[in-house]
Amino acid sequence: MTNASAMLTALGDPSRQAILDRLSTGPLSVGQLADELPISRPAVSQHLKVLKDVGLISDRQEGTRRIYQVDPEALAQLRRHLDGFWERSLAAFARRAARTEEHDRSNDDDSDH
Amino acid sequence: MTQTIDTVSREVTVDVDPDTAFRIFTADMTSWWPADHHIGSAPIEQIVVEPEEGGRWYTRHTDGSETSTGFVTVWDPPARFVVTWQIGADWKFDPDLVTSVEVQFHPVDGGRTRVVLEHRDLDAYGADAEAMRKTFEDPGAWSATLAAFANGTAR
Repeated sequence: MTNASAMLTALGDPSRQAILDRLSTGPLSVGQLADELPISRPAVSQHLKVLKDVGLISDRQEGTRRIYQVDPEALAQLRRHLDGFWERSLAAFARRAARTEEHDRSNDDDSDH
Repeated sequence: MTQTIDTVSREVTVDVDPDTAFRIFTADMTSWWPADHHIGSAPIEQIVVEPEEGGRWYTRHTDGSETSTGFVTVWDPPARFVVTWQIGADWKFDPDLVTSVEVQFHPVDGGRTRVVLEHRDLDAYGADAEAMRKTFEDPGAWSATLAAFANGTAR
């Protein structure tokens, strides 16, 4: 729960959204991201750290460069969190609606007497 | 923009007509909303969806405090409504985080209603926040409400 919320907040920043968006097409280094986005290299590094801390991306060393990539499992987890939330909520709504129907029926029965 | 997180889509069919389903869903949300799903420091007293475009979607807690979830962007009873969902880390309202929830109420045979819920824009918060603000700058009520709201509830 907290993890999913942290991911949502990390994505609340337009620059981080742009970085994640760019990484969703394939792994890239800090330098490549800075070249392609209107964000300075130090800022890209900061955003990458936030995204990594919440688990949305992972990194690996490749020679002298550090390569960043989207963690598909993290995105799937975030989606499952919301999916489960709405499933429980709609089920509760359906139970509430069912009670209304019974209530209305019993009112009808009463008025028949 | 590529879609990195798919829309969450859920549906349920209930044995009441669309009018009743819409009313229970919005005006009586307190009666069914999972009680542990709130962002306040005290239990839920009432969940309010103000029945108009630009209206607030908020929760009043038993200690008198209020927490906000979002705003109404489309109000078309009993067919559908759209609200923003602006909950961030630690379940705090975040004015910069804008996702949207659309709920449609489709009449089906036997006076029943198919309720379809979609939680969208899950991967486009930053960009959408700006776009949506622009959209709502025109009706003064929205801007004023949003500003007052952000001032009153932002961390």
